[in-house]
Amino acid sequence: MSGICGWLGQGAANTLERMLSAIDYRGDRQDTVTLPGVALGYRFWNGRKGKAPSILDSDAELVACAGSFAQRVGSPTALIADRLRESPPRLGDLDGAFAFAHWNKQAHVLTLGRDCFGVRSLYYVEHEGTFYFATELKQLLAIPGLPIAVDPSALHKYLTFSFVPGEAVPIRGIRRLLPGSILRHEHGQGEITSYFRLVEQIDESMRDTKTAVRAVRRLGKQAVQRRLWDQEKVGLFLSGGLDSSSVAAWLKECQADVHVFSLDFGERSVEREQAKLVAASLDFEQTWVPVNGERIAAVFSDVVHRLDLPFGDPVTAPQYLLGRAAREAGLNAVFNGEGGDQLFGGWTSKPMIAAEVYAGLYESEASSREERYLRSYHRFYGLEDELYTSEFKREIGPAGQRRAHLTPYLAEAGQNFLHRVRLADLSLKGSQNILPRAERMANGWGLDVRTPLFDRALAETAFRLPPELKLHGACEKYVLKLAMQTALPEEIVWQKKFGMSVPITDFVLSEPLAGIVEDHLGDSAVRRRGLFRPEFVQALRAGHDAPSETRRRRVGERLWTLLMLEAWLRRFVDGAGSAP
Amino acid sequence: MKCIHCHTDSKYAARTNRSCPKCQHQFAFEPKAGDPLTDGAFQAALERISSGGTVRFTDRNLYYEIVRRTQHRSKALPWVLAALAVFSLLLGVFASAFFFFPAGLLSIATIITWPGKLAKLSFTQFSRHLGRWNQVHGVPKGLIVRKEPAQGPLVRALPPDIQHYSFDRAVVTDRAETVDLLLANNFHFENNCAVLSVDGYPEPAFDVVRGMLKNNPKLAVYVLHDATPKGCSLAGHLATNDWFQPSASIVDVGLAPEHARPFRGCWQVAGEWTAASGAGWLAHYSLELAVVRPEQIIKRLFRALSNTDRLVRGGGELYFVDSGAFSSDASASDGGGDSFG
Repeated sequence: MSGICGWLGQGAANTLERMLSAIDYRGDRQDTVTLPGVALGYRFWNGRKGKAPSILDSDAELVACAGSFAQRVGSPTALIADRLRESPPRLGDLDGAFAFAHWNKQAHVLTLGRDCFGVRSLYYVEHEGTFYFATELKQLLAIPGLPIAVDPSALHKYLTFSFVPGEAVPIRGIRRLLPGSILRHEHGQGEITSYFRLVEQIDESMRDTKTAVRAVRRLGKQAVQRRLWDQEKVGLFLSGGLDSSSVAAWLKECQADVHVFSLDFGERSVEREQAKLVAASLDFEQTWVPVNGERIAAVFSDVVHRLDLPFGDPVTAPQYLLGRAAREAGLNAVFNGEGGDQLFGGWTSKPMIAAEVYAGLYESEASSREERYLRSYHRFYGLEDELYTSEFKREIGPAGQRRAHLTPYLAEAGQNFLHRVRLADLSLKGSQNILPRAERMANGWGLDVRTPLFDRALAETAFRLPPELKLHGACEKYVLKLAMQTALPEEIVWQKKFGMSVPITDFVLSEPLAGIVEDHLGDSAVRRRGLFRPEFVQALRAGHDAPSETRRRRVGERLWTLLMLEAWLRRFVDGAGSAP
Repeated sequence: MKCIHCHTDSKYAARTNRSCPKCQHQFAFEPKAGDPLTDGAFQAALERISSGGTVRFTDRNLYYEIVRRTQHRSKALPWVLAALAVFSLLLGVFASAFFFFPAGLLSIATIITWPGKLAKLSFTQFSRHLGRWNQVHGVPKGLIVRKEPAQGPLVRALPPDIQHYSFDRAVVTDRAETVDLLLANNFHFENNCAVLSVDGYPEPAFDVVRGMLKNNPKLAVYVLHDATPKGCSLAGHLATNDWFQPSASIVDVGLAPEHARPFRGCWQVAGEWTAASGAGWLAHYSLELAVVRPEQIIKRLFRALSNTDRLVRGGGELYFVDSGAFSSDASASDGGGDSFG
């Protein structure tokens, strides 16, 4: 909820207006301050708790802050100003979902910053000598005359990861500030520094299981408590898995007034009974949100617009429907259970462990951990020759650029293997995919999204736990299970993990979504775009995957990834980010 | 015969030095000189066994593909001859004794060409053909080639915390080649699955993996084997020793005599008779798992992993038999996926 933008240089007054209008769904009020050579804009909902009521404009500085801190503070902008007065800036203990811009009037220094886990985003671009920034990409695309050209290497990464990792975005020249970083812009030069990084430092006292369990239970509850302000009623997106159920149990312990929302895929539901059981056992009001092809098709265009960047996981449309239901119920804030897998060792670590054990046996196998990790995204890694046209392939840039995103984590010496995989998951999939997309789907409905498992103190403690308390034999999130076994029904805690699986293959191969797929990925559309080989896309549309693929859902996941990209290209490149 | 490089069709006389008269590329095989197949047929076999270049395969898989192809050519002929013989015989009965003579000749020809149960091309002969193909065209893409031990230590140093973890499931096989097939096709990675042969392969990982298996009391073990006395008794053997925790479940998903019929022509003569061979099919024949195409092995094993509900308790009390794994097309749920918590 809420957004900021601005420039340093010679921007036009109506440009600020255009940038704020591009995110009209993020608030009913706006505030702008324009000084010689600098301007800030802020869009927000009037009267929302925890949010800055305006841009801070003092003798010494201008501060705009989107989002909020985990703990309610008097004035988010004043807190940012306070912390940036220190040298170096003291952001080490800040937690929450925020992005800010700070202009030091005396020193003529602009500082931009993002929260440590990347819930909120911040982009910037240099255009005709002016430095622009904004919390959404579409705000930058509203700058008059900004050239909008696709960056093929970013598309290449998207087709591997299902999201665009790193600082580059798919529009040439536009950059993204990474989570936990600040950008200091002075005398025409920008300097980026990181203020947050999780490091594994095993706490010897945590080798005692009881101590570790007590710590997780206490910090989990605190993380939820910190995010409950006053006596407001809050929503919870409950899947029935361990993570969202744990948040439900902590909300109950905090005596919160909770309304839970769960997805209903009809006969294709995987964890419906579990979600029902948790809501009933905690005596929470529950609303079922039906999801099918018709409902996804009806909101598809809006989902693409509000996502802002291409995200290829099909969970986004159901998240959009959850957000809409919560908004219709009159709520302003929703909790979710994102982050449990990344922090406590979910199932995603297991393939990497299996691959590590058996690495190096055969000629012509993936030789590095990075390559094996890229394969785990199950999109188009290794299928480039089949999917890409020769023209696109020539433009995607040098080899090794995808691996480079992983090396800082996976190659970290002296660390446990599980820690390296967790850190890669957290930094890429968590901070650059799961959190921003969840924020955009909820905030698109004016909802404040609260992710207590990405609480800073809880996360830091998770990285002090011995690895065998996370993955215990083959038991995932062991310490979390032990911590929750008295608070939740046994079958919720100790059940086999199924995951929130969207039956996307059935959806995209049937009407009405098949019609949208045909429009976006039919032969003529694919040829016109020139990125992909029509015969490969056609085979996917016919429901055929590679003969070696055992899981039918991969067809839908791959098709959805291509569909979202084409829809994104139409809206953000061909249409320059215009609203549907 | 067509050149696989330029697709030029040439007569035997034009193929001097076993080369294509147009592009000069060498041929690996020359049917006129007694080779059982052409370069084009070998290439088609590679395409088929690798499912269009997407699945990796062992030389044993390729061997059986070639066996099928060399025997396939004569498959229709005996039926035609038999039909003609019957037709001549009937004519002889109703028209003239003159037709009895061709009927007799045709009957003899039918007997000679009738497809047998056993593979006629030996693996040694096949290996020579493969060697020649490798010499002329290079090692086929997708053929699983083990790294030489000299290229790395026999037992690789793993990050120390790895040994604390485990797998959700394990596949135990009766031969190393089956392990190669699954590992090279990333079955372990896709299904969080240990893969081992009962006799200690792959050596660099064997001890670590066996230790890891004991960390999971709920381990599901799938036994994948040839239709041999030793293979068919492997699940029972594993159920009664200390490979796993006693609470692990063991499922036999291997080849059994009841799966053999569709693979006539690829059977092998049974090894030395033992008490375990019994008096049935296993006493006379054996059938190697590699006779099933890799894509099918992987997909059917995946289904067996997914369809644990339809298991039938086998003859022993300690393990299950999933005899449908290689004879049914049951659909499977594949579960899992991205999560929102």
